[in-house]
Amino acid sequence: MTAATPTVRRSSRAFVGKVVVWLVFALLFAYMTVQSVGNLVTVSQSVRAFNAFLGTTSGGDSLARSTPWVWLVLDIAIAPVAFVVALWVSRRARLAVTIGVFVLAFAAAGALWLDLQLFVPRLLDF
Amino acid sequence: MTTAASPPDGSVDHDDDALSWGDADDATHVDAAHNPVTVKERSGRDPEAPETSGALIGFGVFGGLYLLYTVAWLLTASTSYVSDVDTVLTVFVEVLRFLSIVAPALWFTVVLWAGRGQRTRSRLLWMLLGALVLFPWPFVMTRSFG
Repeated sequence: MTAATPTVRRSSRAFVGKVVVWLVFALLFAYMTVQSVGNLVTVSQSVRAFNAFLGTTSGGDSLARSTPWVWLVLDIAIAPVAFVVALWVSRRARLAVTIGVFVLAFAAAGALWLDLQLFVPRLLDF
Repeated sequence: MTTAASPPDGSVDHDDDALSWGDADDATHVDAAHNPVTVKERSGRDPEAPETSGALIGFGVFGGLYLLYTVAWLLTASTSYVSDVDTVLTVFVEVLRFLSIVAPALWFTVVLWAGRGQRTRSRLLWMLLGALVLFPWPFVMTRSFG
């Protein structure tokens, strides 16, 4: 055995720890993205159904709504962007800092995601 | 390959150099090989160095702002974001609700802790980004002012 062995073991353990952090947060961000895609599908279907219903009424066309595509796409983009930014910021960081950065990225993405969950339905106001 | 300036025997002839800075025995002679130029490091700062008063004021302002954000997120803690959803999504939203309350304090701490070696300006820019990202829109949307 050489004197460098403990250092190598420690650094490889830190790398494994970072991989675990990446995987756990990749799953959490992926779940957030899946929910956002679900929102896009549900909201666009609801708007289409609402407008189709208005088409069957007399003079209801003025109440037609448009799908808020920009906000729905932004909703989908939040999680992947947050994950990539966290990955970039913590690329040379220690394990503890990596965990802190990923928790913060998830919290910030979550705050933005909740903003949009509240904001998009207000735009439609069926 | 032998160039026109090189002596035929391959030895280095200093007098053929483009510039000659004088005799090495001269008292004013400076040999660059033994006097390496030190370049001031611009990208980082000493983590142990005390903060400047400007930096302290900046961090104090953002700390106060983030405290207001925390209170605003806390006041909207009972806001209903989703309805008629499965258990997993309900738990997920509850976790996000909690994280959004602690996010301002977390952002402040992580920027100061993880960015110790960074320049003050870049840390203040990260603080500004946090102020934009974590703005408590649910508080503004669920309350009417005036």
